[in-house]
Amino acid sequence: MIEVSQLRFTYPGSKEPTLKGLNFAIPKGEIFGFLGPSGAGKSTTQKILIGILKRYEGTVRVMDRELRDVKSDYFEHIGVAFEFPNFYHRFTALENLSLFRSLYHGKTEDPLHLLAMVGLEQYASTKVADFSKGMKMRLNFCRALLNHPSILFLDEPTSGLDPVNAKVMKDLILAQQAKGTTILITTHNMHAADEICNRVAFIVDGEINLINSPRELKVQRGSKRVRIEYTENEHVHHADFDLQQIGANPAFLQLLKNKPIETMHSQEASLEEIFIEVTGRKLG
Amino acid sequence: MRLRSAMMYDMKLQIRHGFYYAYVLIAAAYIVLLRSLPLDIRETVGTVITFSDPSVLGFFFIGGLVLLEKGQNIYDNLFVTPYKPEEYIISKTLSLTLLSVVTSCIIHLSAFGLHPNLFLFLLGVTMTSIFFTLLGLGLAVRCQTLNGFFLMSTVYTFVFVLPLVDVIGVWTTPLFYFIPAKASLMMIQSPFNPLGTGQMIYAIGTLTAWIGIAWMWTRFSFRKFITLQMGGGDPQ
Ligand SMILES: Nc1ncnc2c1ncn2[C@@H]1O[C@H](COP(=O)(O)OP(=O)(O)OP(=O)(O)O)[C@@H](O)[C@H]1O
Ligand SMILES: [Mg+2]
Repeated sequence: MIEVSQLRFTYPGSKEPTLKGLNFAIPKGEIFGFLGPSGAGKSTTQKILIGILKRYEGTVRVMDRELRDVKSDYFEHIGVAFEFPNFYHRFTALENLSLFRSLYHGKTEDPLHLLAMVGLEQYASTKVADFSKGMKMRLNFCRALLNHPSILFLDEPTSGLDPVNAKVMKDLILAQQAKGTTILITTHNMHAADEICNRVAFIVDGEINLINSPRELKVQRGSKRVRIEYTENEHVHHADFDLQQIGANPAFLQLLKNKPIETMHSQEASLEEIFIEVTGRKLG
Repeated sequence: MRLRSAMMYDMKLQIRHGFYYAYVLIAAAYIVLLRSLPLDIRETVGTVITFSDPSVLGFFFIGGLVLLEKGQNIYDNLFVTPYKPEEYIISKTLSLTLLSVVTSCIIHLSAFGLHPNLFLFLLGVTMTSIFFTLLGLGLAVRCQTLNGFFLMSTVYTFVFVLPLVDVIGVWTTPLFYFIPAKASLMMIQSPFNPLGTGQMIYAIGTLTAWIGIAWMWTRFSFRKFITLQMGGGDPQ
């Protein structure tokens, strides 16, 4: 679906390139996450893939077309939701969606249908000025889906959402994937990425350090330890043990034999810890 | 198709933001004022008023609209659709021009009655409106706030409306012929001072050339200050 090789980009007027030779490919139907600290070049990469920035070096092929040469009809096939959901405040939700819908030539979705999908049907004739952040994010998601896009670009889709709304958004994204849509996400939020991305790319200073699935990363890089919680003198204590040769570890065996065990958990490294280990950088 | 729909929504937006009420009020005030004046100065005042409507008024209205859309970050969503910046510029310009032409026409007819020479007059209002709306748009995309826009616009409008001092008989210079407002004013005055063929060619030619320049400048400004800054990035 998307093939990028040797992608370099320098903003007009800056000396340093912002992207320094990116290589990656994203198959159809995948949820792919760009993770990296502020200023890493995530949004820049996304703007190139969306077709806004055309003066790049290298090749960027999306749906078998080099993006440098695509015209505005490319937008008939993609859906984009930038981080901040922006609408005409004096128009209702339905008016906003109808306006954006009218800009497409191709087949489009009924806005009322989309509003129902995200649970906003009863707010169709409410002015967007009266919407909460979570409602606007969902409305923005509807807007990005108006043209039945083959690829969906989402910039920080869960930023600023409370856990309930973040969960709603994640489910909406997964439902799109189930329909065969390819989805690109950029985010700082490791937790959200871990939950929904099939693969993630770690990007720092305009370079990709690693691409892999979150699960695979955790298996490879996890610390492989187990934490035992037990009670002693009516207090809960815990002890960590290396999984390697654990059956021959006397301290571990002693503990199992002599103390009342409360819980036992293998300790996976979080995606965040792996990111720091691989890149030497914190997510800002 | 897309352009027609975009224009429809632009007009709807202008109504929602009270532009039409504002125009009705202003037009009513102008009509009352003009009808109360004696005929000899009514023509001069009428020319100044009809000129200011598509020029100065149009200029500020487009500035307000653009800064409003900028404030609501609408461009991030608008230009990830097949809608082209050129279509956006045309839609904004034509929707405001329509408003200007209708109000100018109503003001003129109410104050002076029907003239045989209305075609040149209307063409003058239309071209003036197109020029000043393009100019206002190109300027507004460079500004962050309404105050910044007002500050900058005094400079721009001052230069471009300078030939007004000629109409009210204060001062004149042949250099005014290079300024589009000179051509605008000649066409707007044409019901009272009919133009010869040479003057007609001059007026239409000058406004066409200035509209061409304004179009290119506005398109360039739009690309530089809107398209390339989309999606947050670095607000600079
Ligand atoms: N329009 C621009 N002109 C010049 N430089 C820019 C522009 N937009 C971004 N940059 C620079 O490019 C670099 C990468 O920015 P980018 O927005 O792609 O980062 P990001 O990974 O999306 O960061 P964030 O997590 O903060 O969104 C930054 O150093 C930024 O200052
Ligand atoms: Mg970004």
